[in-house]
Amino acid sequence: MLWIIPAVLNSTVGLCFTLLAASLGEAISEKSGVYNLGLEGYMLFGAFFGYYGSLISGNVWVGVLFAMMAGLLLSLIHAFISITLNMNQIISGLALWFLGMGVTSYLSRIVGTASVDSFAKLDLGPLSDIPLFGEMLFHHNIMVYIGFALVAVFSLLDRKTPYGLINRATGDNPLAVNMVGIGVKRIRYISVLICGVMSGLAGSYLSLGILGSFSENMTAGKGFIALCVVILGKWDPKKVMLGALLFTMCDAAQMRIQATGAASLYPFLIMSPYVITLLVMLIPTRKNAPPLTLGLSYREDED
Amino acid sequence: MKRLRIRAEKFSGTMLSVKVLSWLAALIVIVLLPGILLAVSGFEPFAVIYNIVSNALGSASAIASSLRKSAPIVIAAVGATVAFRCGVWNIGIQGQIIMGALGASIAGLYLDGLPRILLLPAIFVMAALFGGFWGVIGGYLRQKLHVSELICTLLLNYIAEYIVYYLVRYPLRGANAFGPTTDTLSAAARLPSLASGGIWSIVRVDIILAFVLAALIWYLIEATVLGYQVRAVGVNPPAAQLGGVRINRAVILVMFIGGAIAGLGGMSEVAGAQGYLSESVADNYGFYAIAAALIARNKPIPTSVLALIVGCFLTGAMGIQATMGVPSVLVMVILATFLLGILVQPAIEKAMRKAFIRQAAGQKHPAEEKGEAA
Repeated sequence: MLWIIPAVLNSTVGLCFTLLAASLGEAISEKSGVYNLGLEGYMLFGAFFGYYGSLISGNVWVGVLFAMMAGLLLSLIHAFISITLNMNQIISGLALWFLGMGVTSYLSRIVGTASVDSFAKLDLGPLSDIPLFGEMLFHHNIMVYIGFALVAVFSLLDRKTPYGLINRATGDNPLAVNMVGIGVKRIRYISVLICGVMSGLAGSYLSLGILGSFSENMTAGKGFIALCVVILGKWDPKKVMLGALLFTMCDAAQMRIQATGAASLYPFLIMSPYVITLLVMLIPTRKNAPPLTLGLSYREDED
Repeated sequence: MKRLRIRAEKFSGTMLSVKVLSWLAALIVIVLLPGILLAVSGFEPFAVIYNIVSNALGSASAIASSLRKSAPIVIAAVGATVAFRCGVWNIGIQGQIIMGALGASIAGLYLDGLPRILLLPAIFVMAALFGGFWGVIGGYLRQKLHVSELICTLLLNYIAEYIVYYLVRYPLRGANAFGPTTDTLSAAARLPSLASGGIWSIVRVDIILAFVLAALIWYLIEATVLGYQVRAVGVNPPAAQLGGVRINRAVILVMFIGGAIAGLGGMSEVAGAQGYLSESVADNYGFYAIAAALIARNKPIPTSVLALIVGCFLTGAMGIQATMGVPSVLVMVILATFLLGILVQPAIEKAMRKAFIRQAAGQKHPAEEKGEAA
C-alpha cells in the first residue's frame, strides 16, 4: 500500500488549489464579520462560467476571467443583501447556494458538456527530474503555484497592511472602526467581493484545472468543506493552507485507492472526505474563537 | 404637529398600499431572473409557464401525478420548519429523507407478510425513527460539542446518500431489480389511495398525511408549552434559558421531530410514488423543502401550501423537459430568486415608507436630513 504515497502527495499538491483559494477568500470575509454560506454557489458559478468562457473563446484564461466575474456577481448580491440591507446572512447564503445550483445545472443542460481547453502542465526542465520531489513539486500547472503565492499574498494582506488590520478590527469591533471614521460597510463589501472572486477562481479550477469539462453539482460540498477548513485554520492564511492540504490529501488518497481497490469500496471511499471533515469538526479546540461579530449585521447610518 | 398627523396617517390605509407596492416591486425582481434565463436560452417564457401549469393541472391524471410528486416535498418542508423555528439550521433535510426512505424500505422488505394493518404502521415508525436519528446526530453535536449544525447536517446529507448508494448495490440489491435498486415493495406495503376507483382514487394517503402533519406542527408550535419553548429558544436563547427552558432538550427534540417528519417524506417516496429504494430517492426534494419553508417564513400551514405549489410546478416542469427541452431545474432557479425576493422585500417596503412619509411631509425633518447625510 505504501507505494501509493508519492502519487497521493503529487495529486494533493495538484488538486489543492480549489479548497485553498475558496478558504483563503472565506477567511478574509469572515474576518470582516460576514459569513458566506453561498460559497458552494459561487464555486459552481465559477466552475460553469469558467468552462463556458473557455468553451466560447477557446482560451483558458478567458474562462478564468469569466469565473472570477461570475463569483464576483454572486458575492455582490450577498453583500448587498447582508451588508446594505442588513438581512439574514445565512438565508441569503442558502438562497445563493440554491441559485448557483439551479442556474448552473440549467445552463449546463442547455450548453451541453463538451471538452474544453484546460491548464497545461508547466515544463520546468531539469527541476521535475529531481527524484521523489521533482514530480511532486515541479510538475503542475501554473494555477498550483499561483495558489501557493496567494497564501503569501493573503498572509501579508492580513498581517502587514492597513486593510488587513482594519478588516480584522471590523469583524471584532465594528463600532471602534466606525469611531475612527472608517466605513464598516465599505470594508465588509471589499472583503466579501474578494471572497467572491477567490471562490469563482476556485470553482474554475474544478472545471478547467484537471477535467476540462463541467458536470452538474461538481463542487459536491467542497464549498462547505472550505468553511470547515477556515474554522480548522483559525482564520489564518498559513494554517488555512495546511487545512486545505490535509483535506485535499484525504480526497487524493481516496481517489488513488479507488483506482486500485474493489468496486464495493467505492461508496465508502467517496464518503470518506465528508466523514473525515465531520470527525475533524468534533475535535475540541481551545483558542479557536471566530471573529466576534461574525454573522451579525452592523447598522452604521441609522438612528 | 404636522409630523404627528403624518405619524397617525402611517397606520391608516396608505401604508397598506406601500406594502402592496413593495411586494409588486419584489415580484418584479423575482420574475425577472428566471424570465431572462429562459429568454437567453431561446424559450418563450410565457409559453413555458403555460405549459408547466397545464402539464401539472391540466387533466385528472396530471393532478394525480402532481399530488404524488408533491407529497414528499410537502412532508419534508413541514419537517424543515420545526428546527428553523427553534433557530437551528437543519440543512440536513435531504439526508433525513434518504434515511427515512431506507428505514421504510427495510421494514417493507423484511416485514413483508405481516398483515397490512401491522405492516403499514411498522413502515411508518421505521421511516420516522431513521430520519429522526439522522436529525438527532446534528442536534446532539451542536449542543454537546459546539459544532455548527449547519455544516454538520450538510455533511450528513452526503454520508446518507453514499450509505444508500452502497446498500442498493450490495446488501439490499433486489434479485428482480433491473438497475441498482431494491426489489419493488409488495402491494400490501404500498400506501393506499382514498378509494379504489372514481375521483378519490387520485388522492393517496401521504398527501393527506402531509397536511395533517402541517396542522399538528402548527398546533405544536403555536399552542403547546413545548412550542412556546421552541420559539423562545429561536428568538433569544439566553433569555429562554433564564426563563427555565432546557435548551439542549429543546434543540435535540426539534431535530428529532424535524428529522422524523422528513423521514416520513422518504417513506412517502418509497412506499408511495416509486415503490423501491434507489440512491436518487430524494432527488433534490430536501432543498426544495428548505427553500419552501424559508420563503413561507417557517409557518407550517403556508409552508405546506407553498410546497404543494412547488411540487405541482416540478411535475409540470418535468413534463416540459420531455416535450420542450426546458431543464426542470428551472424550478430551483425560481425558488432561489423567490427566496432572494422575500429577503429584499422588507427593505424595499421600508425605503418606500420613508420616501412616502417624506413626500407627505413636504419637507425633510432635520433628523432625517442628518441621517441621510451620514
